[in-house]
Amino acid sequence: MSSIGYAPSLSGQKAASAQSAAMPRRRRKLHRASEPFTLVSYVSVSIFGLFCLIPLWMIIAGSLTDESALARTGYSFWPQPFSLTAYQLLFSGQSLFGGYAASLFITIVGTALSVYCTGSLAWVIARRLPLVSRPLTIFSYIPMLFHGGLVPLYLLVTQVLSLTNSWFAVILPIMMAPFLVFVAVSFFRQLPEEVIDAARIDGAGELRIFFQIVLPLSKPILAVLALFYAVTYWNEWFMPLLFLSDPDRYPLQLILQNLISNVTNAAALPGATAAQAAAPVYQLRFAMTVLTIGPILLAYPFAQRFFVKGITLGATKG
Amino acid sequence: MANFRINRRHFLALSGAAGMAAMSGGLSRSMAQGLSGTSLAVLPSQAPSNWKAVLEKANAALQAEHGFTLDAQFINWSNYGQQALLKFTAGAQFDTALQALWLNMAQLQQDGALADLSGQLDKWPNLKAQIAPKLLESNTWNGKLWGIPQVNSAARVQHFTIRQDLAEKHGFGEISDYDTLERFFYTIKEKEDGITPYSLVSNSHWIYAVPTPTAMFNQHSWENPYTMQYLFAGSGLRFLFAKDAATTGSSHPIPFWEDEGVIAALRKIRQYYNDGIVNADGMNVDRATVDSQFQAGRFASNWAMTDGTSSNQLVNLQRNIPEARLAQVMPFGKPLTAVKPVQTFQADNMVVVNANGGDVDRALALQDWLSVKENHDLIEYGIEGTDWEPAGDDGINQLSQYAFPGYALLWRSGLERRSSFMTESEKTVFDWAQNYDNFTTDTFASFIPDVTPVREAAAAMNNAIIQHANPLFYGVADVDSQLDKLKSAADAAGLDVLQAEMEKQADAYLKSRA
Repeated sequence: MSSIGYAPSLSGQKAASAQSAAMPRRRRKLHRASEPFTLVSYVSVSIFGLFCLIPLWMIIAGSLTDESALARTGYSFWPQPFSLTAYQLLFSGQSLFGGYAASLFITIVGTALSVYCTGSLAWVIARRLPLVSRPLTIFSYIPMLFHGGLVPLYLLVTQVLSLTNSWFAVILPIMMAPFLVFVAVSFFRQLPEEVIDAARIDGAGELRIFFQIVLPLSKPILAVLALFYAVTYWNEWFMPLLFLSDPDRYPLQLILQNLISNVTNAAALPGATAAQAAAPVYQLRFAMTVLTIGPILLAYPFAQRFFVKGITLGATKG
Repeated sequence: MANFRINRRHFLALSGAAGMAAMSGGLSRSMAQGLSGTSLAVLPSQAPSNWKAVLEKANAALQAEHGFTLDAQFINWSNYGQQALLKFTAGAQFDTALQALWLNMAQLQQDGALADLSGQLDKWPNLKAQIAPKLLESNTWNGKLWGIPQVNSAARVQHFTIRQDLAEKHGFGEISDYDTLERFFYTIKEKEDGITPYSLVSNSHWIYAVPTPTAMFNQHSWENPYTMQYLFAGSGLRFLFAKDAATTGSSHPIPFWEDEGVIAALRKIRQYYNDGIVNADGMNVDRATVDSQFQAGRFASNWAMTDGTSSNQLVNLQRNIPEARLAQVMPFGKPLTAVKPVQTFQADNMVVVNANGGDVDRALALQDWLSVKENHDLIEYGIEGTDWEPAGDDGINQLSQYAFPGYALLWRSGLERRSSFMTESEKTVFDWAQNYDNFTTDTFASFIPDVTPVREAAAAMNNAIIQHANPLFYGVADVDSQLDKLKSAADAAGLDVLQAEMEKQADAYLKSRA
């Protein structure tokens, strides 16, 4: 494309050829110069990666190793002797599947509500509306410093809201994280004012601006909010412990915590069965860890791109 | 469908029949008292595997007999203490819960959260028949009863479960005294590679040295099992009273480190730690982990209690080591017939009634109903033929995974069945522990120190004990230098205040008993 309509002189050709000959050499030289660094980087990152992966693998291997071997010889790299007892115990009842359903409901509904409410509140604060934004900022900031305490929370949810045995008793108390509101505010304030003005000139109202202009431009921060909230909801066991008394409504984390506690205590009761007395403790803990971290671990790689970008954007702008 | 209409004659006939039925005792006393609704029990652990079917069957009987139903809310053990306290504090609606001195019972009683049950048992004959007078007397605080004691034996004495197969392999017969037990430990250490002689556990630090009335490694207490420890609250400072307090009327409490037997025990534990007789990670390792390791053959002995549950470990142990056998070693150095150790008979577990959101009559009606063998078996062991079958007069073969936390609702020593795999050695100990006459009642048996006047000092002392006494109980620190640190920390925390208050309350108790 660059040679069309262009007749270089001989000297120019020589110079060009000399230049073109020199460039690969320099590139090769640069390539050679960067090789040791690249090599060291690769090795370092690989070693670091192994340091991260080996403990995870040890947990997986432990969950597949027979209890007696674990208790006698400790952890091993390969599951020997191989045993699925812990997983059989975990999947022996319907409760685990019910727990997955409860956790999924709490995570999906909770995350959707949280992202929507956090985004909406943050947008209003970010707009710096007179008489609205500042009070909302203060209102959001106070819970970062003070907490009402466990007993008032318990009374509010059980006696005022009457949410005992409802999954919303798990969702509502942790639906808005003030820290994430301010992260989102920081992001929204970076959006070009001109885009919003242009939309307004074109006749868009506040809701249309928010839903059709702001939100599509804010995917990174929404992904960050969603991931933070999803991880929080997925790992939540304390709110279910407080407010859910019906075992059929327990989320996964609470079921698994109860299970390990029950296995240990059931074995110690008079009249315990042989199976109860022989229930695995070590192996069960490992299998439990694998089952609980699995889904959320799989979600990370898909959201990582947004996650890193969103965190950086939100964190560096005041 | 026929058009059915009730005329005046029909109405009068039905009313008359209902009245006759009520007057002739067709309705139980509970229904006559107007009991209704659901009695909710807050329990530790998790719902047993067949709980819904068991509850359905129980409720059919309860409804017919008493006019109300039972429901249970299970909270796993790790969170039980905090959650139960929260429910009491928030005035939640439930009838009963498990409480104990080692939970928050004293605090709840002082805060008025527990219903006073004094004099109520006379109304419930089945319950009264199952609670021994001595048990009732010892669990009455200043003349008032704040809970129904739940016990499956008269006394609780901690002791050792040892690998009898290893003992016999190395030429030991039945071990019955401390010196032989110590030789067994050192023989195992010397000759059995990969086996640690004894397993220390993180949450039971004081049991190794401070007598109640014996301590595991307190040889002096083995020979003189006549001293109990008392403390204000939690894991705080344990006091020992003068042995002649009953005659002098002076309790003269001393902190545990002023007792020679305790100091000798601490030195023994330090020696065992250095010699590898006990595990080095005792301060961090929990009971479940240690039991798992014991069952895998990594320990030669383990802690045991006279509650008939030690043999449960044999099943898994024999799966890993087929020739393994277990035996109990009691900490007396004498035959059980030749010793009468002191006991407070204070129950480790109590069923308390919620004063703010509970119904005392309904709660006691339930306790009464559970004191009938048929009802007790249904809730504790499940449905006969499905979850269990009887083995002999008082034995049980469990057929399913059903496991109910009976200690939290219905333990009655006269109704408890024994596991089919209880060893002969444990049967002997368990039988001995059933009889109140095999024990001496401690001078301070029903004394419950009130922490209210010294709450701050007690809290500060708790921290001092955790930081400076626990290393002594696990042998991880030099005894003399660590004792100096402990004494300094205890002085700073208010030892004088606690000691004076303990003496004042204990002396007042003695005076009231005189």
